[in-house]
Amino acid sequence: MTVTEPQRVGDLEIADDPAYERRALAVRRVFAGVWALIMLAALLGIFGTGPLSDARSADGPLRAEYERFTRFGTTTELSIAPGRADGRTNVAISRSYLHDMVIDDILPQPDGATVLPDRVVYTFDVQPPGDVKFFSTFREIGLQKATVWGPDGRRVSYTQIVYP
Amino acid sequence: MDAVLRATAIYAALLVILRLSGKRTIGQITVFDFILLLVVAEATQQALLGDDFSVTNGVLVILTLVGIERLADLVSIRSTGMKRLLDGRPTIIVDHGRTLDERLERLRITPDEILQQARSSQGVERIEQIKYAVLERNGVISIVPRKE
Repeated sequence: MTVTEPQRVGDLEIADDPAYERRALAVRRVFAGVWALIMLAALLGIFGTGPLSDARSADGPLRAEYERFTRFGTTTELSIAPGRADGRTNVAISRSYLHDMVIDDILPQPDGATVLPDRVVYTFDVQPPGDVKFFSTFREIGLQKATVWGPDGRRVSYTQIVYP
Repeated sequence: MDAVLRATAIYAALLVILRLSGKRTIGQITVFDFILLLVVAEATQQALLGDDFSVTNGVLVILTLVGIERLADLVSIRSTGMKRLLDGRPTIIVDHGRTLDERLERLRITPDEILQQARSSQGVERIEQIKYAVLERNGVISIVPRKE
């Protein structure tokens, strides 16, 4: 470790460095621009909850509404409209997707669930409009790919980004 | 979006509450003020984060609060009215050795507190030795001693 000589400005012994201050100011100005962009992105929903985060995938009458951007450890909602929903119906969700999350609640409660090699099939007794909602919490961060199947074999696939 | 809006709402609420409660709240902190500050911080944390304890939410809340603070600084520099609204104004509380009692009562300051500050900052012994005492914008009492 070297001991630096104290600097002198006039009669003052002070570590004053105008060149450093100018550089620091330039960096702060860049940060201010980055900050403004981050705030705008946050308000639009790029980091979860906002207009750009609300997403929908559909195949015919089958429709899945989800959050494109969500966060680790927070509850996210998946709303599925199976299409044919007068009475008994079923929807299926890919197992790889369910593996990385904890399902907190399902509305309405399913009558049963059947585990297949690539998906879990939930059976519901629903009346129109017949949407079913899954409230879940991700246990992994990064890209999460999901596939949802409707009762007539139709399916939709989508990708979510889970922030830490 | 919710993180930014929540943080902005909490900042505005705290600003209004602290400004209306008087400038001494921040400047001269007592044990009771400290306890209040801890409780307020705890309550504020719940309101700021909700049930979202993710890193992303925490960073967004911090960025929002720091950004609002910097914006408020910028606006204060450019607008005297806004500076007065955000920071208040300095108030003379001792004028040539005479305490301005009406102001002291309004600001809830005792002569003891002025003397304490006078002793610690200027080594002044009596009120009469003070030319001016001013309650500054930041809530600190500054002392200008009389020249002997």
